[in-house]
Amino acid sequence: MRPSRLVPALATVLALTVPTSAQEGDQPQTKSYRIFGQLTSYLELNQANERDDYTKFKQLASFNVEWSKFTIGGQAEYLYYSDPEVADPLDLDRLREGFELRKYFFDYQSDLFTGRLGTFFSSLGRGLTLYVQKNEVLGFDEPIHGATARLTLKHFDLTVLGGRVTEPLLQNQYNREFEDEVVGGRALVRLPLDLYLGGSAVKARLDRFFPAGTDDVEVWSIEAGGSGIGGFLDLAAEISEIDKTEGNRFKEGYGRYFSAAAYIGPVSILGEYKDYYNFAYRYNQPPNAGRSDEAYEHNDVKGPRLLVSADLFATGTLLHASYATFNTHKETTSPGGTGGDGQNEWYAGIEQTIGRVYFAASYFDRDWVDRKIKEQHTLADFHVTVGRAGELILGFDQRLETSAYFSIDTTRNTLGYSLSPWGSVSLRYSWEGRSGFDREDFWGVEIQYLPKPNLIVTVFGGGDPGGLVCAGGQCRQEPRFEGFKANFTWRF
Amino acid sequence: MTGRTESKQSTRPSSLLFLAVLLVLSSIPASAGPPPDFRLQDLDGKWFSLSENLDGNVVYVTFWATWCVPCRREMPHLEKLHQEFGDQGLKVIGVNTDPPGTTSKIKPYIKQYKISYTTLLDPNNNVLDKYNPTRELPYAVLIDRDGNVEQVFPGYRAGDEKVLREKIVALLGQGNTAEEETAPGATE
Repeated sequence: MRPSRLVPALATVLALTVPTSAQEGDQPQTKSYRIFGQLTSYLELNQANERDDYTKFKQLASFNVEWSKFTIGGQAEYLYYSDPEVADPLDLDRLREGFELRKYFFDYQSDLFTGRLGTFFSSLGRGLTLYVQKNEVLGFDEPIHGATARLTLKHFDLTVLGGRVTEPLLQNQYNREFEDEVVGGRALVRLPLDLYLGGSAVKARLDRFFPAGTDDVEVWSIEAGGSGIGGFLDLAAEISEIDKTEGNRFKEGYGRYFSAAAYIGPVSILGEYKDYYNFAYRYNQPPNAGRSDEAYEHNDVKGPRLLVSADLFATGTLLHASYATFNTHKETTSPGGTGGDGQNEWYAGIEQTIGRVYFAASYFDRDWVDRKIKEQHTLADFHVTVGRAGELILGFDQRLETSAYFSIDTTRNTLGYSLSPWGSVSLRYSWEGRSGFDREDFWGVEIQYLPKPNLIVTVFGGGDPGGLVCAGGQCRQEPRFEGFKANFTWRF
Repeated sequence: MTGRTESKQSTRPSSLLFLAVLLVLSSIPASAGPPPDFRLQDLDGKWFSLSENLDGNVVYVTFWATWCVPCRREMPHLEKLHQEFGDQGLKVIGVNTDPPGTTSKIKPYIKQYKISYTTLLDPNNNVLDKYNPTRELPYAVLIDRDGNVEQVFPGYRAGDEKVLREKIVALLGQGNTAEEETAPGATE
């Protein structure tokens, strides 16, 4: 069945199922309705390019009404640029302007059945077959527009979904809208001894950028695992196959993911093995081969990783260390094994609280063996409690990339003071040094003020070198910034 | 170049609008009421319903992720509150928002921090989206014994745990407001 036909079919099934499931073993509906939401205003005076400075204003309003097991909600956006033509190309918001209803949904939720009509995010399994989420890395927020339903029995779990989703990266690159269709599902059986067995499948029709037309993707997976096996062991495995067309070419690929975690006294040991070949499509995101904030491209990569963490001396000294080695399949398939792209990485960190002092530090090191590039990332945070509710914060974040031909040093130093529960003031001094260029310095001040717990005002003035910034667990290429930003959030 | 002049002129209406919104909303009090309900699975795949755990309990729901440093700093304090007040009707619920590809790392993380309160998984962030659409972490709500939101806690700053403790003690109906003597994990 074509996804475009399946979406209304799913919606009909969902609508028909709601009243039935609502009568089956649900608790009495005693809750009255509730209205809640969030209003966010963002203002940016961007002077990164002094000849083409511009103003950006973004207003987001999220609104939900919940009654009994039903929720209706939405998110509206108003976006204004004084001059969209000069807005930073890395800012994907500039693809929209004016008023837009970004999200809307009608939810039903009971023990047996949950369903949603409208917009939603979804992933199946560990993301090998489907992963549609807000993209913090690139700063876009594009959900699936369609329907999803989930049936939960004692030992059985079934999820189905279908809808349309847009791709702003391609839109940004090719200056036209891209709209894709995805439809899929997942079934999971819970076995005795906390074991499980399941599988998922997705069919996608992707809007092709050239030549005009669509590409088809079919991907499925089988997953199995268990937790607390023998009281100390967690196991997980997911095996996936993918068939896809790219223009008039047909491609096959696969993804394999295995993990085992053991807990022995104060020590946790996690081993993972990933093997992805020809595996990427627009809407999958399997477990990342590297550290969570040092992502790899997952189309062609294989290798193991070991992570050990511990409160080794039972004194509150938390330690962690990891080692991984990866390569592409071209290492073995290309003539002479010259097409590989090997990477060896390790990182280690420590975290300790002693009285009024909190200290955390980590070091990350990656060698791109074939490219002969080295990446190092050092983080250190030092906090001292001052008075009853104040804290002095010193932060250091340095990212170095070096090879025989170039070096890039991006360093951020932060001096801050926070006072609970009112907010914080941070002074940031950063620099960027590139081989062959003079070092550039940046100063910035950020103030966060919470007049009430549900009101947050944040203002930033000054500059930032941009580049690869890791925050929120992921890294993004942030544009260089000079100017003023203000953010206001009210939750109700 | 005309861009600079135009942008300066166009700054005024948006700046004024921004300030107007700020002034209006600053005067509106925080609302109370029941929190959005949710059903999520724990680390062993067992289902947990918020509404089924509200009855008569004081509940603290906090959204966190393994990459979030302030979350990491808050967790030992929450564990201490859980240990101290768990048998008096306090339920601490940590909702992890890491993506599904990170699931294998969550339990080792929980073990390392010796967390014994309930941990749930929201890998698609659909619950977080309802509570906090802009998704900053940590983000928490404190719910009273009647099932109404007493206060929200956006972010974590050192000292917030004292405010939280006082609120919890008051909601549990205790007179003891003694402060924590040492920070969790301290090795004085």
